[in-house]
Amino acid sequence: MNSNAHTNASPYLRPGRSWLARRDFLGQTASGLGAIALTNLLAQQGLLAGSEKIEPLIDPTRPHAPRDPHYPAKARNVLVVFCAGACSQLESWDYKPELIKHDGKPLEGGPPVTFQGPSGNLARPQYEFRARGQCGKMVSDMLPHLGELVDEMAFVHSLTSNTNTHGPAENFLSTGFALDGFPSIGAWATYALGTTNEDLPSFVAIPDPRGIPQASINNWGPGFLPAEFQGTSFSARSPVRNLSPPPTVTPAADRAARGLLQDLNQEHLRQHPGESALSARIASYELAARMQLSVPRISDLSSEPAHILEMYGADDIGNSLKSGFARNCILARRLIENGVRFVQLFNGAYASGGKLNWDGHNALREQYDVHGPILDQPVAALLQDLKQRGLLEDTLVVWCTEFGRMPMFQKGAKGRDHNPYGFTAWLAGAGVRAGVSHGATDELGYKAVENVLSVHDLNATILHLLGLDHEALTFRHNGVERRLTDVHGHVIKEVLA
Amino acid sequence: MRLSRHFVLLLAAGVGACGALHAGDEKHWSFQPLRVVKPPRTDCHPIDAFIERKLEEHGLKLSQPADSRTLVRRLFFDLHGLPPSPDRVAMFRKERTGHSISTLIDELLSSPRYGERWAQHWLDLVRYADTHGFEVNTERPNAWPYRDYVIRAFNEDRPYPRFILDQLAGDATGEDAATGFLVASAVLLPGQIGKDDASKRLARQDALDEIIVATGDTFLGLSIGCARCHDHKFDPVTARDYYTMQAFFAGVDYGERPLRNPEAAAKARVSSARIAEIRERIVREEPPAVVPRTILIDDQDAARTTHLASKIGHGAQSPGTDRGNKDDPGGVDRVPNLSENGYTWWTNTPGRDVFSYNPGSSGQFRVWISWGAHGSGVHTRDARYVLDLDGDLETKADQKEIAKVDQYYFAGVSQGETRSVPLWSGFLDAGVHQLREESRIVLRGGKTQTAITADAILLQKGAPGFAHPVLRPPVNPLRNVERFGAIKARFVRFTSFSTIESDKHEPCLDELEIFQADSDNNVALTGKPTSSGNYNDPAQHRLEHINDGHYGNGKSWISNELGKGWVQIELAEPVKIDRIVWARDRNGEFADRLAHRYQIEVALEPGRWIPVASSEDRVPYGMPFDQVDAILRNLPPETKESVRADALELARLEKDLKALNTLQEVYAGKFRNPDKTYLLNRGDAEQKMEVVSAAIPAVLGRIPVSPDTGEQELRIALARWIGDKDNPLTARVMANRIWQHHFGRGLVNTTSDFGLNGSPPSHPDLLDWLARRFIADGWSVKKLHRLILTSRTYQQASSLRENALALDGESRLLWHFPLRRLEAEAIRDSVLAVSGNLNLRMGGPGFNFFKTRGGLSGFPIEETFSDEGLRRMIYAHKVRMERAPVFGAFDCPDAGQATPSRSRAVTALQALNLFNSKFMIDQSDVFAARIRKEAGSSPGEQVERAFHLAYNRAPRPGERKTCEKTVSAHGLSTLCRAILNSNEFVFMP
Repeated sequence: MNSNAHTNASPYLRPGRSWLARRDFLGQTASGLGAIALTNLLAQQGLLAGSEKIEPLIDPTRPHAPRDPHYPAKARNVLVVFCAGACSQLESWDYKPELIKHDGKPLEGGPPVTFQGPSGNLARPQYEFRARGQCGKMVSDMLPHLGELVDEMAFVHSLTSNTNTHGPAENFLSTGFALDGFPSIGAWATYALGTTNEDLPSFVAIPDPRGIPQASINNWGPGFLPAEFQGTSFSARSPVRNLSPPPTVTPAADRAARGLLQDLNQEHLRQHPGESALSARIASYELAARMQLSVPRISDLSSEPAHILEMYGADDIGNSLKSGFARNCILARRLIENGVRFVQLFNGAYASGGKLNWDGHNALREQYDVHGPILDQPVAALLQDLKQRGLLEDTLVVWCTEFGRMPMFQKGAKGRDHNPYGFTAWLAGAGVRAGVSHGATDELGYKAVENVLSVHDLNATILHLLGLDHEALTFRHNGVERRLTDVHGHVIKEVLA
Repeated sequence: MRLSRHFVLLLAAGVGACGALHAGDEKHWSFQPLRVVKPPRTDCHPIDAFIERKLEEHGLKLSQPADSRTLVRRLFFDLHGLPPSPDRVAMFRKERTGHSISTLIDELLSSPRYGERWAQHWLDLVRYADTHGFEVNTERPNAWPYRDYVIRAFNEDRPYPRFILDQLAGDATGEDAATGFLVASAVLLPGQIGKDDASKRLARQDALDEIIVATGDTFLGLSIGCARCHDHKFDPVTARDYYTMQAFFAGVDYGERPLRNPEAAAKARVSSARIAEIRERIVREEPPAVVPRTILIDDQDAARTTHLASKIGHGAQSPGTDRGNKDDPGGVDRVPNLSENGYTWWTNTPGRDVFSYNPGSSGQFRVWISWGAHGSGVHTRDARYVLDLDGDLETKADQKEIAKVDQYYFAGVSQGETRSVPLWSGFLDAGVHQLREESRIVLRGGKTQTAITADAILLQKGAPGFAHPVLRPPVNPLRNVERFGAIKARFVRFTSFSTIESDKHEPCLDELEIFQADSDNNVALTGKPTSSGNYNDPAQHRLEHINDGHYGNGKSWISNELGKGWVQIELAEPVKIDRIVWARDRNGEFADRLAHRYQIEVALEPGRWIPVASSEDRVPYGMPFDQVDAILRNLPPETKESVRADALELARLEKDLKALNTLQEVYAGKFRNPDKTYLLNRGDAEQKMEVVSAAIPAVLGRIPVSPDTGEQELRIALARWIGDKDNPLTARVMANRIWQHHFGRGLVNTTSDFGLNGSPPSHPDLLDWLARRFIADGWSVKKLHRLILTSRTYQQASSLRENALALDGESRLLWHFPLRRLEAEAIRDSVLAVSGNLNLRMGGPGFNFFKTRGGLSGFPIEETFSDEGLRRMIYAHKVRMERAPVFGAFDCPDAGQATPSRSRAVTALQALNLFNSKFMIDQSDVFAARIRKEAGSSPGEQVERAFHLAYNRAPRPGERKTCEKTVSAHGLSTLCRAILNSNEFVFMP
C-alpha cells in the first residue's frame, strides 16, 4: 500500500469508521473498479461527506501490517517512561535556587488549600542539584545516572494538566481526556501505523514490579478504537495471559486441536467463500500461534550477558524492586529492538501514600530515597543501551509524569501536594534536539510562566515525530471526530532537531 | 413539533467536533418532522418494498431465503444470544411455513432470554457498570437493580416513552431503579476530589455533564454535551442553551438510596395491619401473671452468690440477635438473653466446687440454670449442679445433684456443630426442688476439659410446669400493668428499691392507678396519698400529683431518696381491686428515674401488707423482650386452638414482613433542591456568569416549565418532550438502534449521531416509515422486532455474490444478510449453553470475574466457575475499565464512554483467550462429558451429537472423518475445544 491510501482512503465509508472489511480493502486498493463505481453511485445520492481527516486504511486480516505515516517520520518507535504518582519536578529536573532561599516561608498569595488539604510553608528542594553533562544542566542528586545523560535530553519544564487527581490526570496524559474511555496514545499510534513485526504485539505496556498504575489499563486501552490496537500488558515477571493452555492439555492434543480447528474453519470458509471476517479470524489464530512462540522468547532474559544485567542493575540482589524494574527496562529494549511500535514502561504503581509510587505527600525525601534508585540506573542504562545499539536513531524516548508537586509542604507534613500548574518531561532520541530546555516555571516552581504548554502539546509532538499530524489522525465516535489531542495541541518545535 | 432555528443551533453546535454552523443547517433531515411515506409496493412486506426498490435502482436484488437451520440459528442468536437446541431446529424443519416462523418469533420474543439479550445493547449505551471507575474503581454494589429494570422493561415491552420517563423520572413512576440511568457513568468519589473548592466545582460540573451527554446521545442521538466544551467559538445563545439543559438536572446527585417497591410496601401494609390485629388478640389471651415468687440470680450478683474458687474471667457475648448472642430477643421457643454481662469462668478441676447461688428463700421452686456455652471445646462437658440443702458445704449427706450439663452446647442441645464464640446457653429446667432459706445451689467441676462457667439461674415457686420460666416484660417508663387475683384493699403501697442507671436519681411516678376488680374504675382518684418523702420541686413534682388524674412529668411525684422511696394511697373505702397501672412518664418525654426494682403491696388494716406484684418476675430492664413471644412461650395446655393458629400465622407474617421491609438499596438518581445553574464562560466552572433556569429553548415553546417548577416536574417535562410523538428524533433514533442490532449496522450508521456530522440514512424513506410505524404501534419495541424479522430482507441468505460485492461491499443496501461475529456475552453464554452448564437464574447481584476488585490487590482473575459464575454474562459484576478475563477481549465496552455500536475486532489475544484459557478448557471437558452422556462411547455418535449441539447440523463426510480421527487419537475434549473455537460456532449466520 502506498501513502496515498491514507489521503484517498475509502471515501464511501465516511462518515463513520473506516474499518474496512477485507473485500472493501481489496476493492479500494487492488481492483478499484467496483469501488469507483460505488463511489460515483453513492456520491450521486449524497451519501458521501467530504473529509480532510486522514484515517488509516486497514486490512482486517492484517490489522498490524505496517502503514505509512502522514509524512516522513523521524521516529519509528516510541518508548514512554511513565512515572506514576506525580514525580516532583522540584526534586528532579527543575532547579529552583530561589526556593532554597524561601525555605520555611509562606508562599505569598499561594493557595490556602490544595488537593489534599491546607498548605504549609515553602520547602527547599530535598536534594542537592549540580551541573551535569556538557550542557551543564542542573539535575538533582536523586538521579545521578540519568543526570549524566542530560546531553541526550530535551527538557520541557512548563507542562500543565487540567486536573489535579491522579486517575484523571493519567488518563489525560495517556489519552488526552481526563475521563475514562478514550484511546491511549499507543493505540492511536498503532492504529495509524501498524507495526513492523507482526509476530509481536504492536503496543506493549510494562507495569511496574510494584503494581499497576492508578488509571490502570486506561493508559494502554483502545477506548473506542478497534480492540486490535489495545496495548498488550506484560512484564519481565508477569507473562501474557493464556499464552499457552493449562498443563492438563498435552502438546499432542494441543496440536491436534489447532489442526482440527484449522480444518473446521477452512471447511466453513468454503461454505462462505469471500467472507473476509472469517479469514481475518483464521489469521488471528495464526498470529496467536506465532505470539505463543515469540512472546516467551522475547521475555526470556537469560540470553542477556552479565555486563548488560550489571549495567541496568538487574543483578542488584539487594534491591529486588530495582532489579525487577531493571529487567523490565531490558525487556523494553528487546521489544524496541524487535520492532514493537510503542512501548510504555511504568515506574511506580497505584495510590499507596507514596510508598509504591511518586505520590510524596507526607514523607517525600524518605520515599524518594527509595524510588529514585529504582528509576535512575535502569533507565539511564536503557537510554545508553539503545544508543550503543543504534536504536536511539529511530526511537523516541519520552520521560513523563501526570503532574508536578507544590513548592510548599503540606501543613504538618514533609511532603508536597499535587500541582497541575507546572511540571517537567523530557524527550530523547529520534528527531529530538538534545541538550535544550524549553519553557519554565516561576522562580519557586509553582506555575509554568514561560512558554506554557499542555499535555496535548507533548502528545502532538510525539505523534509528529512518528510522522503523524495530530489534527488529521481521527476516529469518528458518537458523532465526534475524535483525536488524541481533543481540539488542542501544538507541536513543540523547540525540542525538535 | 417543528424545531426552531434556535434549537437547531443548539443541537448542531453540540454535534461533531463542535464545528461551525452554516446557514440552512436547520433544514437538516433529522430535525424535520417524520414524513408520511407509503411503501413503494403493497403486494409484499413493506420493509422489503423499500429495500428492493433501492436494490433495483442499483441493479441488485435480495438473496435467496436462508435455509431453515440458518434462519433458526440467526433468530436465536439475534433475540436470545444463545444457540437453539437440536430439537428446536429439527422441529422447525418439519413445519417450515410462514406460520411457524411467525410462531417461533413470538415464542422467542416472549421468553425472558430476550430481555437478557437486548438489555445488554441498552447497557452498552448508558455505560453501565458495577464499579465507580477512575483510579480507585471501587465497587458500586447496588447498581444492578438498574440492570434488572432494563431487562424487565424489555421483557415487558414497556412502551418507549414510558421507558424514557422511567429513566429520567422513575422516582415519579414507581421505578426508582430506572433512574440508575442518570448516574450510570463513572464518577469521582468524594475522597478522590480535591479538598479545594475549585476541584469540587469541577467534579460537580463533570458529573452533571455526564447526565446531559447521556440524555442527548441516548434518546435524541445528539451530542448536546459537547456544547459545554473547550475554547470553541460558540454562538453565546448556544452556550446558554447547554446550561439551561443542565438546569434540568441541577438537583440530581449520584448515590445510593432505598429502592422503594410499591408492591412490597402495599403487602407490608397489609401484613402490618394483620400482625397488629393478631398481636392484639394474643395479648388479650394473656393469663393473669400470678406468679407467687420468682428469683433471678445472675452470676455477678455479689449479694446472692459465693465464689468458692478464684475466677479466671468473664465471657462476654458478642452483639447480634442470633441465639445466645448479646441481643438475642428470644422467641416462642426460648426466653431472651438474661445473661446481663456475660458469664464467669474458672479453671475446671473434677469434683471441685467453684461457685454457689444462695437464693435465701424457702419453699418449693422450679430451678432453671444457665451457663456460658462455647464451641471451642474448652468448657467442661459435664458440669455438675448440686443442691446443698443446709447450705453447709462440709456436710455431704444433704447434697443432691440436680443437673449435669455440657457447657459446649446450648441448653437442651447435645450434638452437632456450635459456634466458637461466647454464647448464653439459655435456661435448662433442673426440676422442682424443696429449698430452705439457707440452701445453696453449688457448681461443681466436671470430669472433662479445663474450664467451667456459670451464668444466671432462675427459681420460680409454684410455676405451673411450663417449658420456660414465666417472665413478664421489663419495666417500661411509659406504662406498666400489674395484674393479680382480685383482692380487697384499703391501702396500696408502691415501694422502689432501686432506679435505673445505678440509682442515679430518685424514683418518679407520674400517676398510680388502682382499678376496681373487673372494671375501669380508678379508685385511686378519690384516695389519700402519703409517702416516704417528697422531692423539693413543688412546681412540677408533688405528692398529690400521684393520684390527680394527670399524666406526665409536670404532674408527677418524686421521692426524696436516690433510688428508693415509697408512695401509698389510702382508698376512700375498702374495695376489691385486681389491677394497678403505673409509669414514669406516660407522655413519653422522660425515661430516667424509672423504678426497676420495686414491690407493690396491699393491706386492709394498716401495717398488714400483702405483696401482690413486684419486679422479680419481670425480665430485667434493658434486656430484649417480646410480649407476644413471651405469652406464646408458655401457652398452657388448655389454650384455645385459635390462639395456636394465631401464633403460627403471626410467626409467618413477621418473617414475611421483615423480608418486605428489607429495602434493597439502589445506586440511582438522588434528588434534592436544585443548585443554581450558571452560564459558564468557556465551560470553566471557575468562570460563572449569570444564573439560568431550566428550559428547552423558549421558542420550542410547549414545555410547561418555569423557574418555579419543581425538580421532579422538570425532569418529567423533559422526558415527556423527548417521548412526544412529534419529536422528530426520538422514534427515528430508537427504530434505527433496533435495526442496527438486527442487521449489524443502522440505516443511519452513526446511531448516536443524527446531527450534521452524522451519516445520512441509507434508506431515508424506510427510516421514517419505521419510525411512524413504531409510534403507531404504541411504541412497542417487540412489534418493531416482529415487523423487521418477518421481512424477506431479514430472512435472506448471507452468502456473497460477486457482482453485488463489487458494487456494495458492506451491504449497506442489504443485498444479503451480513454475517457477523457474536458479541462477548453471546459467545460465553453459548459455550455454557452447549456444554449444558448454563445457569438461567435471573436478576440480583452479579457474579465475579475477579477474585478481588480494585484497591491494592488489583484485579486477580477468577478462573474456576460454578453455579453463580455460570449465569449469563449480563449478570456478571461489570468492572469499569478492567475488561473481563477471556471474553472482555471480544470488544466488551469498558463502560468509560457510551458504546452505541460495538466494534468487531479480530485479535490474537481473543484467539489466545478462547483457545487456551482454563475456562474454555474446562468447558470443553464439560461439553465432552455431556456428549458422552447423550451419545455414548462411539466416536461416530459423539461427533454427530457434537455437531448437532454446536452447529445444529450433521457433520459433512469429510468433517466426520477428520473429527472421528481426532476423537480416537486425542479424546473428545480436543474435538470440543476446536468446535468451541470455530468460526461457525461464534458467527451469527
